[in-house]
Amino acid sequence: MATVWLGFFNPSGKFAAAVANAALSASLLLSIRAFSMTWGPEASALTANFTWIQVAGVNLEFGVVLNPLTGAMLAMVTFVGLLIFLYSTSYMSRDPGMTRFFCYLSLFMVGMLGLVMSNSLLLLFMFWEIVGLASYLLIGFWFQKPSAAAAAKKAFITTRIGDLGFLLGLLWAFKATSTFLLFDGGQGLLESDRITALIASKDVLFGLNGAGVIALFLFIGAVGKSGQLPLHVWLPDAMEGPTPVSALIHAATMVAAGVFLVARAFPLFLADATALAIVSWVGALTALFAALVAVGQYDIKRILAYSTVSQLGLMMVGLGAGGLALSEGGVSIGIFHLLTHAFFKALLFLGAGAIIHGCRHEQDIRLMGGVFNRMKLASICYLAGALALCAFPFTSGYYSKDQILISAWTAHGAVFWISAAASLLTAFYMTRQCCYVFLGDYRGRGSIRQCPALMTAPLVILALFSLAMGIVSEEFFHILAYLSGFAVDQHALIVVVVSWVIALGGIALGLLVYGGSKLGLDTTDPVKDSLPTPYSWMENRFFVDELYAATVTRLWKGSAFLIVFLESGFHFLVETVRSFVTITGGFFSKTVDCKLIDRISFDGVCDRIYKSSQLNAIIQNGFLQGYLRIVALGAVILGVLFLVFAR
Amino acid sequence: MQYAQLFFATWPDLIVVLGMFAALGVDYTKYKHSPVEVRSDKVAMITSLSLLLALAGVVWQWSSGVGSPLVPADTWEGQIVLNPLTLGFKAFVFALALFVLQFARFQVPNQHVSEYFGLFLLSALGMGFLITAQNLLMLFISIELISLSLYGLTAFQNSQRYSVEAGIKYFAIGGVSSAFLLFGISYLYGATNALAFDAIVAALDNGAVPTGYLWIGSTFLLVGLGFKIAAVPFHLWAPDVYQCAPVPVAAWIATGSKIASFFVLVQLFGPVLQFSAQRDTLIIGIVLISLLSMVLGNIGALRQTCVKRLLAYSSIAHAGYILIGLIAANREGNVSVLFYSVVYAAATLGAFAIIGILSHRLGREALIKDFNGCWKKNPGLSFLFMIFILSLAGIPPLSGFFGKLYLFMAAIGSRPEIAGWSDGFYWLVAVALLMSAVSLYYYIIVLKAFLVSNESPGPSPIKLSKLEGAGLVILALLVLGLGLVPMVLVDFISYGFSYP
Repeated sequence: MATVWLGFFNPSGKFAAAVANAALSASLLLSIRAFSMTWGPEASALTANFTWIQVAGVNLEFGVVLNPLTGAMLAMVTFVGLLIFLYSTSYMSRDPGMTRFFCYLSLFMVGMLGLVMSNSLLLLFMFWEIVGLASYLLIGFWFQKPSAAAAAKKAFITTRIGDLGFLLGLLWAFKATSTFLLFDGGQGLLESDRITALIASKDVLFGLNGAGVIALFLFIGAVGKSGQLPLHVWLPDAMEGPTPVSALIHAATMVAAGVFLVARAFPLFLADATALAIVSWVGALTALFAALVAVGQYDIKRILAYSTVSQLGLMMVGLGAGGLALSEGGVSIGIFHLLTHAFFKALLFLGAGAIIHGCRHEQDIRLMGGVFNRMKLASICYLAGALALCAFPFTSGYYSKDQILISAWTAHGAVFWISAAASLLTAFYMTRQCCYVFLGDYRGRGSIRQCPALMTAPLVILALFSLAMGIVSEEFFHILAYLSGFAVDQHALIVVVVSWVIALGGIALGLLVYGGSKLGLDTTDPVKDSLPTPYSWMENRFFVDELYAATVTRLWKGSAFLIVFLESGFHFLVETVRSFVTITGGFFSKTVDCKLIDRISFDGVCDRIYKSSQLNAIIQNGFLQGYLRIVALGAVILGVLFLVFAR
Repeated sequence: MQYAQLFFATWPDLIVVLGMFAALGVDYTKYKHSPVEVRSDKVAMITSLSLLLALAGVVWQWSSGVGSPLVPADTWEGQIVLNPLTLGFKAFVFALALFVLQFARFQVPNQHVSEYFGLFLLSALGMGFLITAQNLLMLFISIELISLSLYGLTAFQNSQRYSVEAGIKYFAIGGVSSAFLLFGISYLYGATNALAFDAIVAALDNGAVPTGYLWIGSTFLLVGLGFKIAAVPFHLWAPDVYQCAPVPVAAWIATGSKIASFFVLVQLFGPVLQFSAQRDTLIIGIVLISLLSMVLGNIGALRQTCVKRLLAYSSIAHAGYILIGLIAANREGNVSVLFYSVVYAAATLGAFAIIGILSHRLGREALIKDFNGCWKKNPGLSFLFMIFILSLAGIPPLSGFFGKLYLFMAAIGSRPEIAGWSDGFYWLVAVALLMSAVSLYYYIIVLKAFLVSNESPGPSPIKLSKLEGAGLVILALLVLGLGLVPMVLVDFISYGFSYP
């Protein structure tokens, strides 16, 4: 399963695209093979480990693992990835940087596949960083746009905070267990022996046990990568990148890496109930927060971005609450939503890309409208994705979100209601967006143009998956049971009722508010009319960016100022000492002084080393007699040394 | 004496000898009146083919399992010892020789083509025997075979005064060193009544060895081998010889000859250093040699303007680093010495080869500034050169870094009972690290000329032959690959040491 990816040495854009597509298709086939290998009622894991380096008793081991979780992720990543590669072949065809684009995309796929497969926390971290780098490069792909460059930097720096947490967790884990391997025939980090040992070390930090601390540090990494509260700020800005990138990286795959990390390290989380509770609370609050913000946005991609943040929050709820309710079954709940979400969110982004393409690169939904009549196929696909996102009954989103709500219901009432509210809002803002985009008359410049078939085909495929995947995977393949190894409780009447009410109610509410009213740049949003103050908060994303600007950035500036101040103080001190030395030195002689200063400075030492090579020239004078004398001298010295020191 | 056994042990070497005679014969009969290019082409083909066959033979011996009747393990008191380790290194040296021949082929200094290649083969033969030798007599004879061929090669540009001068210097110092070596061997024989390495070790184990003879013998052996590895103060020939010899010859002296010498050094002194009495005394001398080599080698290189001379000093410094592994006096130390010698040989050969290719058309010795702006005309060569030089400097993803890491870790971890900074080898490793920092200066200067400098147009684009290109790429992959998966080689060497 080790697919080797080649960088491309400057071919034309088309050729690069073709190579990338071919390579990814091959990798898709291999992934499906891997997926089917791991398919079965009993989850059998396949691992291959090797020692990378071995220094002074420390082994750094790498390895790959193939278990059901890996298999499912591999199949999803390569499949969605291939569709998006195909789509971008058309979408980016006019761009002069197409080769660079496909290089970056391929780099990203390398990182993502490696991340999914690696069986060593260290290796996982390396691929995690590769993925982060690829994300940075792709967000800033149009680096001539200042906003894109700024967004890339923001994404990189914000996720770095999370990465630091990951790194700390990784080092902590290594210190506690002296292995990086996740599965190693009973000796791995995630296997029962180590976990038991970690649990045994109680009260390591804030009342958490050893496993819980590591889990929480890893969770910080996941928070950064998956855009959870409070590190979510980078994700909406990341939409500055090309739309396929938003679809692939910032909706379907990379942001899910955080969720995947939690799922991968799930035994660690299971070991401490507090850790699970924190995960579910962070997830629920993120879900609600992002859903609220999404209601107040006008940029079509930004709405989807906040929706992604919100859905990632729900996945975290699925993992956290699922872990509390079902222990090991929790993995399947979070990951099931991750898989379905990957399909419909990729569909939504690609659809949004098609709409933006059609509307002459306009992203403001107030300047759209009437798109349905002009781009029927793309619009139907988009609506299918929207329905799945709203968890409309019997779409894929319904099945996966239902599971999350059930587990939240079992685990914790408050979390359940928050998640339910977030889901209701999801249905509401998606309806709002669709009303803006599809109904009424076209309000933008020029006329809507059709998009090429290569762009529509992936949409259709993804739409079919979005609608049917839930039924197929749940009813026929029992994917939940497959992922976690046992069946999950299906029916809690109240939850079913609530989820139906949420989905239908949200859509109905949206239609009620936005369906009939006249929308556009010149009219205010209907919600704003009735609730002006909360809406303005939503519009401004609850001022989180501003809050960070006011606190973190100011703190940064303050500390910079402080450092400058300290430095000037220090400089003053140094200056005093220096002038003292200068004066006393000058008292004796100017030349001695210069030598003194020079001698203690770096330059002086370097110069001395450099000059000392003259010494060498004296020996190496080219005369054979001298050479032989020195050989003899060396022999005599050695002999005397040995005889003197001999015992 | 069983001649059949001898034949089975040495038939790859016989192929090399036959190849040499075939080359000489063909050159002086069929192609006697052909132009030099044709002759060098034919001769290089014959010699390369024989080396390739010999290499395949050694690999076959290695893979078919030592100890079977077709591959006798040990013959005649350690004169030819075949085991996975010796066969592996013999194969590596033959492979290096094969690479060198590919570069030498286009840089034949005069019309004596077949002698030139024949001497290469003879020295490679000597190195192969030196690696399989675990007997002082065989050691001496192989060293003489290597040295005599290399003296001839050094002086091969007999139309140039400086080449002959370098050859004579090399010969004079080499002769003196051989005298020391032989004298040391006789003293050691007198002290232990044994010539085979294991018999010497057994004698030391028994005690009752007159220590005075032992120390004098060890001193002289160290002098003789110190000359071969160009360690200070027995290094003085190296800068002159590297500078004045034809480039392929300099590359060959700096790699093949060194790797074989380090191998035999580890084989001889590794077991001896296991005895604490011998260790405590011998180490003082080796530490001194290592320290002087690192300091003088690196500092000497700082001011050089001639690239070959610079590499000569750098190789002296590397000999100093490698001795640190010997000082560790344990399994890890010995493994790290051999690991580093392989890594060093690959990077040095690559660097020399590129220098040779680029400076061949210059018609004089190449200065650093001759390579200014090389990346514009020869981007591929410059990139490969960067890999080799960075590995020599010990920059992390490359194998040079891991080589140094293993050496230093072995030295630090060698005697856990010594914890203080003043004891142990902390200070020696600290000096080594400091000197590595110094070495960065001159490596970067060379790289700057290659990659950054914009001043002059530099050498015009050069078209490599396929074999040259393949050789360089293989060497670069080796340097890079051993950095990514160093454990492959480390495991191989450790396995070899634990082989009965």
